[in-house]
Amino acid sequence: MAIRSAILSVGATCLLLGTSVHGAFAQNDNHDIIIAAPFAFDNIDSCNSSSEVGLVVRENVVEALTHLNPVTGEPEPRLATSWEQTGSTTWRITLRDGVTFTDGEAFDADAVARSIERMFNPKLDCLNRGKLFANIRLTPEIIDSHTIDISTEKPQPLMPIFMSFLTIESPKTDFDTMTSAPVGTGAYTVPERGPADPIVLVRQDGYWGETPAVSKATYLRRDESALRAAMVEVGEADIGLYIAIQDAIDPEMDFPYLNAETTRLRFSFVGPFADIRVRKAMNLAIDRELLRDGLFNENYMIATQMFLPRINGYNPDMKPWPYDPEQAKKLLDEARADGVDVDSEIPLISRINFYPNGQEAMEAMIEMWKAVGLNIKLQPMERAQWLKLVNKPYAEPRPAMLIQEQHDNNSGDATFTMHFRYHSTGQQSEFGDPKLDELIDAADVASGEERVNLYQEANAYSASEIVPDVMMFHMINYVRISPRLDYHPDALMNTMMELSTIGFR
Amino acid sequence: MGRYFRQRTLQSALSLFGLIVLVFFLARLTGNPADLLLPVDTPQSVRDEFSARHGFDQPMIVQFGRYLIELTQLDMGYSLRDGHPALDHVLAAFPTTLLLSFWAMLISLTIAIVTGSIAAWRPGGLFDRIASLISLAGASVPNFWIAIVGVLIFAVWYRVLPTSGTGTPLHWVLPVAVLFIRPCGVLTQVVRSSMIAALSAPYTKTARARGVRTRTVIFGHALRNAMLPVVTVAGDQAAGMINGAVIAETIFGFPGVGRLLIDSIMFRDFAVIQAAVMVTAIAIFFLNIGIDIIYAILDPRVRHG
Repeated sequence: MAIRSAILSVGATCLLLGTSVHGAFAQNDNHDIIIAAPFAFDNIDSCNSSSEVGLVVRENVVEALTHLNPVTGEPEPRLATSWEQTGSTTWRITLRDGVTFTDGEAFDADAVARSIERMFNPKLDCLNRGKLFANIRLTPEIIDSHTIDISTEKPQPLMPIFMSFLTIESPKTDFDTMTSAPVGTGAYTVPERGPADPIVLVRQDGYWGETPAVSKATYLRRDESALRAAMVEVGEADIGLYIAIQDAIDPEMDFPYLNAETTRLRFSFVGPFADIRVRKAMNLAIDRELLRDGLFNENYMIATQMFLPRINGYNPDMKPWPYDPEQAKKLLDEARADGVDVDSEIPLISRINFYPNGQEAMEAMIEMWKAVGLNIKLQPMERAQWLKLVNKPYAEPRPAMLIQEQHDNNSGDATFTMHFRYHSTGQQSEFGDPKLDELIDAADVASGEERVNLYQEANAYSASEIVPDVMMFHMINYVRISPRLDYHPDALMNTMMELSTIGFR
Repeated sequence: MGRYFRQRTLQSALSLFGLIVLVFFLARLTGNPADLLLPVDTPQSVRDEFSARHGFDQPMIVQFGRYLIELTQLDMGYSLRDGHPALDHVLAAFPTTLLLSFWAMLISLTIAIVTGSIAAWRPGGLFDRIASLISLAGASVPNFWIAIVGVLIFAVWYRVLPTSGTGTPLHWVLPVAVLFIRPCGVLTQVVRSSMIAALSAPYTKTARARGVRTRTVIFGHALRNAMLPVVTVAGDQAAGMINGAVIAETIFGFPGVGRLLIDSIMFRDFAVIQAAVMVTAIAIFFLNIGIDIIYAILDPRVRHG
């Protein structure tokens, strides 16, 4: 009797708990959504919107002056309705009228000037300043309530693109401290929360644009890709971001998108890598199609340059290196005959957990190089250790090595890539070539078609005459999307996910 | 007894100071936070500016001196990632880990004591063999594997438990299971071997000869004497719970101190690392005091010594 009643009690408890958890699993009938992401989103101040923080706040909470079209990469009006270059270093921007911040403050030229000054406030650890505006000081000058001039020290033809990162926050935002509840002109607000609470965005009435369908978005941090995928599968989340290849197994829910990241191996121009024949041989020895199909998948694009085709300056005429191990051997023999040491062991510096299957790709490439007689050894490093080898000033003497890299260019223009990596003064450049410097310098100050042509020429020259790297792939991310949503990821999704683009079926 | 606890407190305070010194210097040897918090492409000038703003450009000994002065004012610094006080982060996360560990230890001990005691009654018998197999497997299987397989079976296939998160009691089932399985396996083995020794001792043989009931012999006479090594190992397992909590909290999205510590280490958020280690060390100090009290209750030699 006692056993029977115990079983009944346990059964009843399970039923009760089961009922309560069923409630927790149930999909919302309203338009609230849950997004599972691998990020902590520690500091969602709009000043950090060029990082993953942008996924939450950019254009949802705080809007920028312009908006980059994810397909063409062209800037389009957002809080700015028009812009024109009025002098070599000055742009005049006309601001949208009738817009207010969600705290009731008016959006005007004062608010724009204050946001710019706040971004340059040295008391703030502002990622946007470090990433985009470290070498470009913007000086605002208010013309009238809805017109503002922004000046730079040097001509800045990319100002409309830079304006897409200039997110404008309410004038009530603290000037000297970062905020965990940014206030902007977007359709959503961020309610105050405790340190362990998830970030929630709530739709507000009175948004100046079209009212988005999503009424509330909750961002949950889940580190494991398999877990994020499972959450969408069982209905606990609507969107799972950054799903790993091995978990993206449901074509109905898993969608690939080019994530703007490009991978390569960089040569230090030392020892055998000072010889262009060795650098060419290392490219010829790699079967990129085999790598792609074996370790990644057909959605990955074999890269010929460090940014995507939608970026200004992409050269569509450049072709990937062919797989030609015989030619590679021949070039290495020639170098060896001229006294170049191609037989010593050379380290390949990889970064642990850089991207899915990255380590496996390095190991496969090492085997391909071994097949042509090269002796490359994998040396995995943690990020801090790896960074010491990546950025100038380099420790002397710099050894012969290959360095695994991944670079994202979400901005729409080649300058964010070319100067940094291929100009002799670039922070991650390994060489100095006067002709390439000249082309990049000219492109940096040019505009329109001329700018595109100069970057294209610089790209082609670098790839054929210098061979600074072993190009790999334009990378893919997967996002798992619940069937109840009507949503298509785009190439800007690394730093921005506009809730207004999400619909319901 | 009072003298004994005063002595333990002094020893623990010295250990805590040693730990503070070690954590402070070792954490700083692992790299500059500017390299990890700022994007890879950030120019050196901005990195230098960041380091100067947070005092990382100062000699290590100056940084340490400043840290000690702030510590005397109970100021543990602020998080580099969001600017909030480091102690606030730790105190917000700590209850979750504490609760998770409490349930995991409670379940571990209960299962281990019952299973280990019954298994020790007939060593080599069917129950003993099955219990040994399961407990050894539990002590050997990696936590993360149990977590992922648990999600797959109970959340995805059968859908009887949520995949992750907090909210309802069922949200705690998988994280607690991940956390208790390993200590439970270890403790079962300890209880078993300790009970085998206690059950073959002369006083239990006498009790049996006098016709005392089996249940009373096991749980009334032998278990109390067999508990001393179990308490030692249980204390060790409880102190090591933070390791398991890292896995459980990371996978299941529990906002506990294990995950906080790992995040802080990844980003070299020194103030949070230091605060988390210190709060954890203080908790372990109290745990040890608790174990000493249990010892005193169980063993009169300790009580009157």
